[in-house]
Amino acid sequence: MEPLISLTIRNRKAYYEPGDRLECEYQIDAIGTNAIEAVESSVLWHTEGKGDEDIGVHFFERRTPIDCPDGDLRELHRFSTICPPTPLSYEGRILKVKWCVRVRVFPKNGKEISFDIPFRLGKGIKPNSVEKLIAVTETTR
Amino acid sequence: MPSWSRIFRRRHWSTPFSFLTDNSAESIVGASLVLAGSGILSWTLASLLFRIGIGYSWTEILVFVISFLIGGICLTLGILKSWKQVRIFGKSSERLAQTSPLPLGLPLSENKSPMPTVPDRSDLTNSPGIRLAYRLPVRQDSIWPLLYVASGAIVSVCITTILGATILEVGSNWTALFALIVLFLFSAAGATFFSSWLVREISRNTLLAPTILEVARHPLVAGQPWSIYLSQVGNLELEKAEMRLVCIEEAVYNQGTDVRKETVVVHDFLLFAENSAPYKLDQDHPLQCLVHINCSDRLMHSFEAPNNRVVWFIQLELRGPRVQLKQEFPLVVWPATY
Repeated sequence: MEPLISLTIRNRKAYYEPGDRLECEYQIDAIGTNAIEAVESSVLWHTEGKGDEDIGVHFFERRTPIDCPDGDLRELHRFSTICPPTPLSYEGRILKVKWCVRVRVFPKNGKEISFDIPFRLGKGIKPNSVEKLIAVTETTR
Repeated sequence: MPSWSRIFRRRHWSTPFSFLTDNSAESIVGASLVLAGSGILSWTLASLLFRIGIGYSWTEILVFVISFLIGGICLTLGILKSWKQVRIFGKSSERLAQTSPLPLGLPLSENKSPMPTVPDRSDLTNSPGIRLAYRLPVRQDSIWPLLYVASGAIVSVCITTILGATILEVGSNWTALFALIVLFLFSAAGATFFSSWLVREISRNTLLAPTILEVARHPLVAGQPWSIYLSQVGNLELEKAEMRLVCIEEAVYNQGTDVRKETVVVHDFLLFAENSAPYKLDQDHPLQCLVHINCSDRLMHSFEAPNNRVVWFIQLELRGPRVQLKQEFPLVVWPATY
């Protein structure tokens, strides 16, 4: 049986503004105490769309059994980070910028598994929206 | 109380054998280079050892040196490629991106730019304006059109010379007449194309002065007002004069062994259009305008990553009877939250 990752954003909101604190916690179940080699948690953006994927890591933490007092990586662990100013979440025509919190577990035996929770940085920008984005207010010749 | 999200989707997984599947081509290339390099070096060394005491000719020495060089290069490249594979083996994409020497992969605390992924174009503000704060530089034309014309001219000269030589050699018969007709048609087409290109380039450079495009501030911050000043001096009648604020998305992707780029225009705002066409442009009547705009705070900021970009620029299009000019003035847009 594969390990289960329980990941949540503690201060869940519709969207986060740059400078907001993002608080997350995770816990791992269905795996033995000493069966985990490492756990990585990260806050990152990645692109989707026509182009090859780009990825940018804003926050990264790797924990191994020696980082825990009792060597048990399954226990509830919290981390937080301040949201960066850019890149804002974006849904363009051939490019999408998406943010997520990711936890990846490396068991000592078997394949690694990960779990993502997406979130939005900024209100979310869509170029196809009907809102008038630019208005010429005055022209002097 | 937070609601727990249990794992039902499992993505981004890899096994210890991913080394062989995901990067199999890289691994095969690395191993092949190591094998080839070792083989060449071993053969060269063995040949040298067997020939000790017999003496070598200069040709043999040259062959040995070249073999050593090729073998050494192959072995070094192979070891480097294999080492790269070993280094990324078993590491997650986040860990690799986090430890990457690229600025994009660095955590925020180590990233020097105040706006990660927003290009730092301080070169756009090093020229002060007369009417407004900064004068924007024009994006330099690509060298490709010039190279196309130059290669076309070389090919044209070569074909003309070959045809001319054929006529001189063959003498006066049907073949010579046919070659003469082809030569005439080819020369006429070439002359028309190159002379029109030359006239267009000369007209553009003599009838229109360099465009002055100034902005009140740079970068443009979404949600804040902005002003643009355009001044174009020249000596011609304009049929069309338009200034636009354009945003494009650029995506680079691999398709087989090709690297392709796709560009899509996502915003194209008309800032200014000269409606009284034809508009007589001369020293006393330059094309001038000052445009004030309001931007929504939902404007996407400039974005630059290795394979994807969001690019903003001001596009100026001028068209006259003998001149057609399309210029782009790049600019950077910052998000409203700045």
